[in-house]
Amino acid sequence: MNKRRALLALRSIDVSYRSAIHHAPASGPRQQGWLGYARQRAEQLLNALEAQLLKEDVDAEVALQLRVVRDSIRRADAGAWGSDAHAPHRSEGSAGWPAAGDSQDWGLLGS
Amino acid sequence: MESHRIVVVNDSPEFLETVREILADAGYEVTAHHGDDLTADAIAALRPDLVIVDLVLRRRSLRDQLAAGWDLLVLIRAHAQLTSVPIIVCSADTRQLRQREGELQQVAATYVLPKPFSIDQLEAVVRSALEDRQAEAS
Repeated sequence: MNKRRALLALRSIDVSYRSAIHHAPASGPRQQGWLGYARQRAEQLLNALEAQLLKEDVDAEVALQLRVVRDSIRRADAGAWGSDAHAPHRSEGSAGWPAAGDSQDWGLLGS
Repeated sequence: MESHRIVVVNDSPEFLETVREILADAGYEVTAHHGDDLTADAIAALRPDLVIVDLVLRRRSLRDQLAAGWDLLVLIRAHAQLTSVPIIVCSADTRQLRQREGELQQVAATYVLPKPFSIDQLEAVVRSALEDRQAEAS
């Protein structure tokens, strides 16, 4: 796996995980089940990716980003269990991926 | 070889950009949309080979925001030019997916991608949906 793909693979887990918790119910048992499932699944995916990367010669930036994403998942989860499960995606939980544009710019992003 | 056109609908710009990059790297032509004011006609005008839509869309223009993704799915499937276009439903709401399993099975050419997902899972479901469509057409 080349470096770009490894970074995209990490980003896929990180961003889809935060998208999952962004859509979680605001409170209650349903929120707990939702967040628990999302976190468990994210960690499984991350562990599988880490195992795959460790078989190869892992780039230092990829190794660093792997740790950042793992921390990001923990932090995003901790935040979601608090009062605001619907915080903006690129808030404190973000692993620091390049900004994709402000909400005002939403629309057709093109190809 | 002609590139497949994919429309991705999600309320997160970061999600849209990530999926766009992954699928563009895989050779697809991707159009990303946040879902607000998006109509089935607008999607049809893009002549997609595949649509990826989140079951939950926080649309600013609708009161019933949480149902917006499902509504969009139904509108897409009902559109004359989109009836055979495969749809990948993306969601973390396992309960709603279970509740709507029967309905989803009734909607032809619909695939499910639970969130969170890996890059391999995303690519695999896209490949599978497009291959199934080609097999149907031939």
